[in-house]
Amino acid sequence: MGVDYSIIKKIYREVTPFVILTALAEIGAGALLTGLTDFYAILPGLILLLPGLMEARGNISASLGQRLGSAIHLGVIDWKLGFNDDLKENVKSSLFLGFVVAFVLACLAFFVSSLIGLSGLSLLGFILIALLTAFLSGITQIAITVLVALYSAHKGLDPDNITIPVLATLGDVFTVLYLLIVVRTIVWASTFLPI
Amino acid sequence: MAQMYKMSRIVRESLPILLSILGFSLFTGHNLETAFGIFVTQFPFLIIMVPAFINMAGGFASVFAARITSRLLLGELDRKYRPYGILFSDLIGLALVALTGFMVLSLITFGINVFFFGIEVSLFALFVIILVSGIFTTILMCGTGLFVAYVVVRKKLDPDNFTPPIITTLGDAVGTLLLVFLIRMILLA
Repeated sequence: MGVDYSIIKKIYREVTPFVILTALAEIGAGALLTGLTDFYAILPGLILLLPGLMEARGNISASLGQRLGSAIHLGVIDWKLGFNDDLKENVKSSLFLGFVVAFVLACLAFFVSSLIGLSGLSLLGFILIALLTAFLSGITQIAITVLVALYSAHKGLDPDNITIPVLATLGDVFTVLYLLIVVRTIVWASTFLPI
Repeated sequence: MAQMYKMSRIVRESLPILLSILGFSLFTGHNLETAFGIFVTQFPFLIIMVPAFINMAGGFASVFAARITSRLLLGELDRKYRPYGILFSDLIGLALVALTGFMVLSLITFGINVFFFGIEVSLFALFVIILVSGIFTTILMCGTGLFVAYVVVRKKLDPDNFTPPIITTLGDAVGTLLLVFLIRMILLA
């Protein structure tokens, strides 16, 4: 059983820098999350929505990243082939899955929060927050995934090594940021709209 | 070249698993986080590294899974992951990255606490807590990824749709529990 040292070296060289960046960015995201504590006081049900939303978005994007990595290795998707049908199907699926999961999560979060007596937000409010956040973070994460996967392969790096760590670094930061903006907007809108 | 990906197939394969995980994370995940939140109030300085810790472990296992599924599709590895030399090269490479990553995370956590918050914490204890729980979680997630891909490929499904949600969900739960256990053992002893 021969271990291939060139594989080990390539993985170490390509993955390590992004992993260290992930650590730093996540500590930043943690600080950003503390910005949400005010909102938890206004809208306690959000604490049920945020972890699920971040996890679902992460999973959908990681699947997209893995599929693109496989497709690039097989030559089905490539920087030079551009936005072909295979890439389009992948992007559409990822966006659609994000919407469906966000919608279901919003309904679940509403019912659970009503059951355990966390008030503060209507079903419509939950759905609006979840869908808007899913839309914004979906578009951003899909763009990052596609660009990083294609460009890293174009530059001779292995997209399997690069795409997921970059996503992990940026994905959560964007989701928390968007959620903060969306919640602020919905809370503001609820002063004059029946949400 | 014939089109390889169809939205209907991706959605059909991904949606059931994503929705089941949603239920899981809403109930189990939430309880775990609440319990963990109460627990770490005794050690507020540790909160800053928890999201990074969980994401890093998930990241290592996902890179591993991504590499393995590409190799399976390319035929570089057969369905039983032979030749094992390639499989172990990937595993050793990622284990070294994980070791470096968790050591750096321990150092960052130590640095922030000492220099920003003036909290005295043993660097050695942090190393043990983060490295042991991190490496164990990463290995468990990689093993799960191998198992999931093996089963999924046998059923002629696309492993890229299944490995990320399953390994990260399991990794989050095990990683968090292990962190709590080690903090309890080492810092409360």
